[in-house]
Amino acid sequence: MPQPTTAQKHKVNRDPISDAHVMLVEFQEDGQTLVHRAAVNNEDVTHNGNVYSRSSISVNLPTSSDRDTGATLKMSNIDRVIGRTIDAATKRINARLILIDTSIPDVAIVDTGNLLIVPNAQGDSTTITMELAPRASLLEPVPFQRTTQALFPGVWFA
Amino acid sequence: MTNTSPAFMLLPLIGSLTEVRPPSYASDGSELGSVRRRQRMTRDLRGFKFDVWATSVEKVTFDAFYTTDLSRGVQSFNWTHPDTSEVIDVLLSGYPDFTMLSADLYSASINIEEV
Repeated sequence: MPQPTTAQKHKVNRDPISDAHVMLVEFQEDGQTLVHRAAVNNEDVTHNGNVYSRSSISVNLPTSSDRDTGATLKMSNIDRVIGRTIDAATKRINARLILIDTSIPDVAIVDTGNLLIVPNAQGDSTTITMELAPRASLLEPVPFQRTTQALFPGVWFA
Repeated sequence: MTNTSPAFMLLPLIGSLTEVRPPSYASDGSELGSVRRRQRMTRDLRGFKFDVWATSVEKVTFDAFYTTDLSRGVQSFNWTHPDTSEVIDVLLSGYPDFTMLSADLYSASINIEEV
């Protein structure tokens, strides 16, 4: 998880922001090498040599409850790429969110790494709606380490 | 495969050509009158709207182009801007409205979107 610099934090709070901040999304079935990459933008974005296809993706954050936190993600399934991936998956699907500033596209401001999973998804020929949950909700053993702010991308906005 | 638009679509023959650009930025407003903006997308996708005359033969040509070359509107094609001669990759927003004005004369309202 990259630590945003003070300058990056300052820039995101500035008005106007003349360089677009673009969210990149990666999907990968656990254990598979194929990664599907999408960018919330109207043209393809290259980040560290990987091309992220332009996509329409909207994210809804949940209301507070005593259940596990899970955001809802809705994206286009016109090209059926993500739909086929979900349909063919036999293991869990990992998701990764990356935020970049297009003036320095190779530097991630936020990168969730492999901390997100897609516990369920449904869709039709035009859209896929899926839930994004933290990997911690799997209740699987994780390598011991101290919990740091880097594990919680939301605190970057604090 | 890159498709090229039929000849009669190269010039807006009736009235004017309108170019629109949906905002590529996110914006808010307030009752105080101040507006804040940030860039959301990295590109402006233009839209063009114009009307052309078409003969019956040109309509048949266009229908074949629409049905076969464009796979009924799914494929993009190269359209040449009549003023700047810029070649733009566009999609038809939908099948154009063809209005028959008299025998062998149609007017067509064409909406295209840059992709």
